[in-house]
Amino acid sequence: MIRLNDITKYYTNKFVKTFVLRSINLEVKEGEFITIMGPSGAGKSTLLYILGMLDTASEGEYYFMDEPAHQLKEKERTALHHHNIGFIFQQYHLIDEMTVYENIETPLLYKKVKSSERKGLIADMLDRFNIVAKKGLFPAQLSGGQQQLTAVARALIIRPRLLLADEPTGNLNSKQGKEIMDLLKKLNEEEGMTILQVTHSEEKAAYGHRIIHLKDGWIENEE
Amino acid sequence: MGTILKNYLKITIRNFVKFKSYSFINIFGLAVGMTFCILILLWVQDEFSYNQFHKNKDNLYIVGTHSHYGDQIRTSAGTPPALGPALKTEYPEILNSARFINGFVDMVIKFGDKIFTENVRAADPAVLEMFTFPLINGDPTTVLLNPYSIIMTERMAKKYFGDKNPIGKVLTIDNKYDFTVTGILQNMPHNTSIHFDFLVPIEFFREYWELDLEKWSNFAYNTYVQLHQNASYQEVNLKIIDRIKNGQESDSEAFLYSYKNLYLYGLGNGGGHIGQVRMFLLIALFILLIACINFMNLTTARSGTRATEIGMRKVAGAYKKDIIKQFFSESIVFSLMSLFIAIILVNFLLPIFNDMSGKQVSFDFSSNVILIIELIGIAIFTGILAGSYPSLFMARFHPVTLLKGIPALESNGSQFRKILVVLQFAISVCLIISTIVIYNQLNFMRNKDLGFNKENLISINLNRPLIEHCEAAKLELLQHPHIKYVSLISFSPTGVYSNDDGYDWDNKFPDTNPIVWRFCTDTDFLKTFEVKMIQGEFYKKELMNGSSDVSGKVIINETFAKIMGMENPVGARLSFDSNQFRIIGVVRDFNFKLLYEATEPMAIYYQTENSQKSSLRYRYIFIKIEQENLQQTIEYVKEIYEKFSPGYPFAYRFLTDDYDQLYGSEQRLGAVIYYCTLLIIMISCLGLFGLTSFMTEQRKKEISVRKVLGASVPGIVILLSKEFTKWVIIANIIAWPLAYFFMKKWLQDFAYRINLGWYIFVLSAMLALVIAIVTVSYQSIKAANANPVDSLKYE
Repeated sequence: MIRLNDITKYYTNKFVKTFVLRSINLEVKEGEFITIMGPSGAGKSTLLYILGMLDTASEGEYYFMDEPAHQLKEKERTALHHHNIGFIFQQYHLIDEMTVYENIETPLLYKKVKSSERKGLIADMLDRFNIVAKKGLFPAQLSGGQQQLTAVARALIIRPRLLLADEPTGNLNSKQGKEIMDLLKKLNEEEGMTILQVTHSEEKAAYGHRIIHLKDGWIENEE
Repeated sequence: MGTILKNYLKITIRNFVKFKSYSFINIFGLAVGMTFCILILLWVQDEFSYNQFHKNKDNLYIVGTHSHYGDQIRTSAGTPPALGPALKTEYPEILNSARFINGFVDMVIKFGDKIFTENVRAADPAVLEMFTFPLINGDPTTVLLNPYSIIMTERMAKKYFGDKNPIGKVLTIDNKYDFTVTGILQNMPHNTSIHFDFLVPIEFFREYWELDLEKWSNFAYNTYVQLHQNASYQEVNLKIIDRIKNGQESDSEAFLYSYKNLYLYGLGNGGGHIGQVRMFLLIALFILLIACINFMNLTTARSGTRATEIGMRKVAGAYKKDIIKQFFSESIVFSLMSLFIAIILVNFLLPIFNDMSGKQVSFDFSSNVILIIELIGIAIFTGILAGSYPSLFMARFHPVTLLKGIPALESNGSQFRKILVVLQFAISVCLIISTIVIYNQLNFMRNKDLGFNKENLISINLNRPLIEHCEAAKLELLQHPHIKYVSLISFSPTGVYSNDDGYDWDNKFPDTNPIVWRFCTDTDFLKTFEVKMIQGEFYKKELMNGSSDVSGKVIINETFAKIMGMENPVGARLSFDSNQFRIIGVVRDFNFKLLYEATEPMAIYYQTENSQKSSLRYRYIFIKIEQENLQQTIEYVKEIYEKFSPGYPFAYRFLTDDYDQLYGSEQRLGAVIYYCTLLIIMISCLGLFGLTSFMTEQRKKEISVRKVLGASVPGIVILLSKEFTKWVIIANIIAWPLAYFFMKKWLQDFAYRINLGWYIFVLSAMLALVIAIVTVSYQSIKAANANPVDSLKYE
């Protein structure tokens, strides 16, 4: 599904190149659950963002479902990610001024899904995550777990083939964290969703089929 | 598409409620800016509407004259009376012509027990065919054919006749002439240059003032012509240029000037209102610009708090254009809200504005589709302008950068905001300088030494019985202890309407032919007006009574003496129209006209039997009074007036009031600029205040660290204010040359003007600085006094 060839990312500041990622080679197959681990500043998040096409690599090739993403224009790349990739973050990044319902609805609006179809999709999603009662609430009125649940619902509403999770449980207590991880596991096992997660926690890392260790921008080893 | 817009709207409104004070500053600032912009546009619209209601406006022209003396050219709308009829008969391109006697004539009009002094204008009957002054009653081609016919406006008909039919009624003018009302005019619109409530045929003045209407001199008439539809005015201009010269020994050239442009452009010689109109348009633009800058500044400053939202929208599938659309729709919603508030404010402020600007502008949607389009246009334009930077700014970023939040965005946005704030302050400083200059100039004009003393002078219009007994009346008036001097004069200092060229003297240079302004007065002129003699002596009772040759004497002013090129012109010969005069004295220049114009050559005559009947006859009595017991003194004047002219209405005026009225348009300009400046400073401060609150918010951590490291409160206040001070100084550097240029240009219209001293610029700079520091200091002091732990512990 994904192939990275020699992906390198650096920032140039006053003629000094600061490398974040160095010659990353990685292959991800459909239905895999992969964990990326590593110390702070190892480049985990950057790798995730490049995979999610929220950021671009400085060098190297990135094939997403056999499409050369590194050669695409910004608009085409955006379209590619819009239809195939869902994202969740440590800070949830829900839009404060929107209700749970509206937050989940937003990607559908940008995808120009019809109103009736939208209602059905959102209702299913709310039902599935047991947050029907919360649909009219604003993020500030929810617990961290509920917020992340909403964020997952928002990510899944477009039926992505790939879910990228940037420390999804980093801000949650252990009970809430476990709930989210179980949910991801279920998605992977029952629906065959490809998942890449970044985490610091060994316990959470164990959910993945493969663990990739990053250090100073290099892939150190793989388990 | 509709749904996504609804989504944007929802967010806009929720944001609005969430950040109430920010939204208030933003919307209110914009609303106030728009309010003044709308007021000014209404004013400009009104200025452009002047004289445009005439059906023949495209073919109507005023005849102007260029007169040469020495190397100077004088342009005026004054023409000799013979020109109008000559133009019509001699040039086939000219369809019609009409003359007005320059200025108003005060006449006492009586009907039954109603008796008032009225401003009457005299013109050729053709006026009613050329111009669109519609008659309610009467045939425009015949109503003024009889010299003793009079037409009046509806409101005057009401004043004299109430609800009765005025046609055919007989009015008595000056207790002597019987006039028949032949027509009733619609009330004049306010946007007309020619306006009158009473119109009589010019023919009447052959008898009334014994005017010679076939003369090729005395440029005291305005001539208007109507050209044929297909005639080219340039061609006609070439043909008529020498027509006055051919009529008499004169070198005045005639030319046509489009009447519809007269109000805005004067006679094409820099007069007219276009300067003011442009100035106000510029100010309106400034105000809108400043309000938009505020909007942009606050929106971008606050965009940090929106970064996550926008970032997430991008992650959720928003394209760049979606984000741009979102911000534009947001700012357009804001600007439409502002417009709504502005419309309420305009309705509220309009009476005050009309009062200040001396206009009767109305703000009426139902009858003005253009206005609505204009307003919505302004709102959308403002919205787009104000939303452009934040939208492009936010759309540009990678979602990841946005999700990381404010610090990454800051370096970029703040640079742009600094430029905007500097621009804002530059405009403010420009206006502060202009306000000071205009105020100084107005003050200067008010206090300028006119060469005579205009204080404590009251004037009374003379009437026939009073003229007949003027010497007796003078003596009686002088009996009052608080009346110091009394003088009779043919013109008020605020308007001398009689002039002539064709003067001759010994050793005159051939190309010198000045237009000489003239008036008639008595022996008490010097004392009453406190005018100084330079050479020779003024008319004296003894001198005049003893000598049989009263008519042969003339007094001239300094300027005329200079034009004559004589060291001491006393005793020199001056001839005019086959009359011989000897100059007996030279008076110091005094300014009997407006201060726009330099002093002109002047001749002062003593009234004789002859001049009594001419346009130089006495029209006013000027009384120099003392300040104390003013009311009593005026009561006494009234008594004398009524004693000598029973049945005539008594009215008096202070000369200083006349002057204030003359400079009304400048006063108004001054007032409008003053309020606009206040407003712009206010809006700028509002913006600066909002901006500093965000900036200090962002520097909270820095301030805390500094405080922990031992910085004092004043030290931090200085640190925070330093940057703004720098901006204000840069703003001044930009503003000074601009203000200098504009004000230099504005002052050029005045013959007597102030210097643009450096102190004005320094003063403005100081003022701007103080205002900025006061605005900023509230936030700085608050930030400096905050407990550092509060902002550090959440990091």
